[in-house]
Amino acid sequence: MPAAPLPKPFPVRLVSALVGAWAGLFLWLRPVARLTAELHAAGVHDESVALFLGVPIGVAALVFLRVVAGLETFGLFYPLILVLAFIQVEVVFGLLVFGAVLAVTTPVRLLLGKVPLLSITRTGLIVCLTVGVFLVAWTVRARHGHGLGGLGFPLFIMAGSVERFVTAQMDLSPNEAFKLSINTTISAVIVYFLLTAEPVRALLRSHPDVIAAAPVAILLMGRYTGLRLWELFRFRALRARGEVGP
Amino acid sequence: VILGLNRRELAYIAPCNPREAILGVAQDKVNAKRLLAAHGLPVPDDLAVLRSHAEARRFDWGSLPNAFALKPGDGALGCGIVVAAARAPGGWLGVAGARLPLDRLRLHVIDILDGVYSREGFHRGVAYFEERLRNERDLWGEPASGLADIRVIVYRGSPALAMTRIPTKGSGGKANLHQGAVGAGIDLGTGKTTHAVHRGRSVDRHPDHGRRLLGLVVPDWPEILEIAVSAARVSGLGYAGVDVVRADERGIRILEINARPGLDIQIANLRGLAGVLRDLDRAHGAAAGPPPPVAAVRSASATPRAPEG
Repeated sequence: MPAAPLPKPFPVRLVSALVGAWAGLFLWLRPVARLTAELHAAGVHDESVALFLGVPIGVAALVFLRVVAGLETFGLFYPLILVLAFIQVEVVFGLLVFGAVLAVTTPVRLLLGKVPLLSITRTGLIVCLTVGVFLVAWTVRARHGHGLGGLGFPLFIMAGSVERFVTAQMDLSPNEAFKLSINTTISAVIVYFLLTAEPVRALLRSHPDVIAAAPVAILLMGRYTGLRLWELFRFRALRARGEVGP
Repeated sequence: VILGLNRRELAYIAPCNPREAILGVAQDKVNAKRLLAAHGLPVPDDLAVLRSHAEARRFDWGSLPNAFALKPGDGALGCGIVVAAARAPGGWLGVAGARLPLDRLRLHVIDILDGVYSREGFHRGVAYFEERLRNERDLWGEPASGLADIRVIVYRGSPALAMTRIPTKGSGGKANLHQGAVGAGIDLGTGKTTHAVHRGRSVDRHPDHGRRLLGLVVPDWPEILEIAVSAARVSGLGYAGVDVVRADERGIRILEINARPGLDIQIANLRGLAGVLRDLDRAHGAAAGPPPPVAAVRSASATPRAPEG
């Protein structure tokens, strides 16, 4: 069966040439390897460089989860910074704190919803509450002799994410907001495990220029018009009737 | 052939829906109503439009009638809409009998103006009041749980798929499938319902009163279809979802025009949209090529060789 037309023509040759030149540039000059070697020589911590180089790979993975798998999230930025927070405080503790924050703030938000207040002030109160939960979590962690430093950055990330979740609960329907929150957390965990996998880290250390593949992969996914995995499930009734994907 | 989100964006919305039409019509309902009314199309009457905090402070709430709908100018999925059904001491009563004191309505207007219900949440919104449209009885003559609407997908000047969305007790009177309304696909030629879904499952009977959902004829169907097609043409959107209601006393009214209409309509019809759109492209004589730009569709409608129908 002929596929439905793709109305806007895509400059295939031009893009292929550009991608070829792009790949050649990185294979030949290895700019990322040179720059990171310089950073290393200047005494920048290896971990910070690895974290930074992981960002394009993480973004490509998140785009894949959205466009091919169909996991809708709060954009790319929120899952990405959650990944960075998880890398800083390890994922189990990060998830526990994040879950605790949501468990405490959601009932409070519902209560606040009964009081006539401007929405922005409700969000402000929720962020203050988040700081309180964090303070407790931080203390518990310190009691168990874990590293004291390094919670400031994840705190801001999670407070920001909580604000996003809370405003979504007001803007969208509660179900939709809950779904997006769960999806955002799931994709952050998936990408966390991808970026902390030893083979990936080893590859980024030995051949940091592989990150040049990330934008190419994202570009290709930008032309993917097939059904998302989730849509195979969503439209199962149609598929049972013999309707097919494009 | 099923239409997915990726193909909808890349093959239909990007080429067929120009940015000006998305911003000016789909995301600016006050402007859209003006445009439609200027072309002689039926829209709900505006009672007041508030564009700034100063206007909100000066607003004379006493000028509002007993029943009205307060809406954000660019809300999505029916969020931020407050319907007042009757006056009460110190304010109004909502549809379900909930109290709507004046203070709460004032705050709601400020939230709308501050962009709480705007799509991106970062820019200012517009709040507007319009007449309340209602149905006393539903298609079966039973007491209606809310206002049912009819969604028609119009592609390049032709209707592609249609469904009616019927509120239930579980949907809280809203005609939104995600919130539990029933969606029934409509045969474009006859206006008869062909298949229905409720909360993602195929159903034969209305969940509240058990009356049969299939084989009903939507009243005034040819007129509704014609109005939806005209509205899409006026909007400048080549791929549009037009929402129409048939209200008591007022008759057919266009509620809104969407630039990114949802894909659930395929489930309500048990029919893939991509196949329908492809057939329409063929009928337009452009099977392999791009559809004509929207400007051309509009000018074509003015010439005798218009490929409508």
